[in-house]
Amino acid sequence: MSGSLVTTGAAMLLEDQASPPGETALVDGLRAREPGAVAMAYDRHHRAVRAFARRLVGDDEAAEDLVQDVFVALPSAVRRFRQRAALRTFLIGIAINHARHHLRAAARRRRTLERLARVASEPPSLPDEAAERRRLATALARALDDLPLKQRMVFLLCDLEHRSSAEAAAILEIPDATVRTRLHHARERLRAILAREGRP
Amino acid sequence: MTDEERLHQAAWALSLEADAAPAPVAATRARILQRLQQSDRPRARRSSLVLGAALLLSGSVALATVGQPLARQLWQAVVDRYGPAATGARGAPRPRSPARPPIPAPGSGARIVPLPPPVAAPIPLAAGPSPVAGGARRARSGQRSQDPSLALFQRAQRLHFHQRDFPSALAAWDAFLARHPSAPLALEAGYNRALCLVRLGQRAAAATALAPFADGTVIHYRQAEARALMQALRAPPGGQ
Repeated sequence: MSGSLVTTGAAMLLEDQASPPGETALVDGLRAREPGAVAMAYDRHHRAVRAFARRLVGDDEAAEDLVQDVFVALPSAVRRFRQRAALRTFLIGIAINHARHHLRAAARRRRTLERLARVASEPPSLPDEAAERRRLATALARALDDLPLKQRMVFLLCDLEHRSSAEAAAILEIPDATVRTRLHHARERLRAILAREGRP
Repeated sequence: MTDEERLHQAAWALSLEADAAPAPVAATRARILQRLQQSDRPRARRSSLVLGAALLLSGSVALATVGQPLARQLWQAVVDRYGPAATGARGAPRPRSPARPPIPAPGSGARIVPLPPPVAAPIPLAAGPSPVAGGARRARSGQRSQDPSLALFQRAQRLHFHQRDFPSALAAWDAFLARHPSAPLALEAGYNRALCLVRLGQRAAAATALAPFADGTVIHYRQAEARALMQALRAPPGGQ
């Protein structure tokens, strides 16, 4: 099993555009501030929002705080929801709008842990492959901290979430060409940072 | 390895690491609902006071004749609700307003109970399963609430994603789903079980397990990935 695990942007776009049954009723309930509407929205969409938040901030605690902020903001934010895309996509947009504070917190925590790791020099406890994967993930999370926020968002949506540039443009409310430009610069910069870290 | 390959691998590793960690699903849900309830109380109080004050201050003839008894009733309702201290009126203490009914947890009919007061010392993570006290726990900084289903889930995750012992991981996912078929993490466990079957080369069983995720019977954020896996499983064994 090789590259078959990488999904196409078109497939992801179709998945998010297809509204699950009852979504219109859920949105109406959110607008009317019905008790239980936010709970239902959470039960349906928390996995997608959490997965996005974790990829975005690279820190479980900061991601969980971001998930909370998204659903607490939902009753107010839903007034802007136009139902052109699925509610899940709208929730991702809310997460992006609330991400800045959590990104800073996650970056601070990462730097602190790295300083502690240098002092403690813990022996590795994971098998080689898992350790290598953890090292790569940590290196990329650190590199993402050095990216401008706009490039980071585009890289996350396109290369981690495998969304098309068109969908990323819709979520970020920017032109498609801008998404592709930022993605190009983001990849260039990340390749350079990772190459420097990979050299002995 | 080229720089492009390194970036691609790092992106894949970051996604995998992000998905592997367990999540305090129930605790976060309760925290969200608690924050919403706390933010709704001041809004309701302000609306009632503003409405009562607006009616009383309007001073029209119609209000003086027809509306006066109504205004008197409204004023009494405000005094009863918020008390003489809030309104400046003398009268009996206001009755306590009925508690807002809690929003039930999904599927179980259980009530969300108020959170316990904070404790001075951090709660250490239990090595094994710990009993659930009932209701929600606060998502404390650096800590996670533990319940038996979570401990089983974490064990299966370690076997699957860290030790890469797929036969043992498959048994662990099966054990989790047998014991906790309705847990918040059951969908995630079902999907991970399907991934195990793919890893073990059990193509028919993997396709059966992936089908509900791929065809949308189960609403899951990895539907597109499931579809891609199904397509790969349909290809002849040993091919690309």
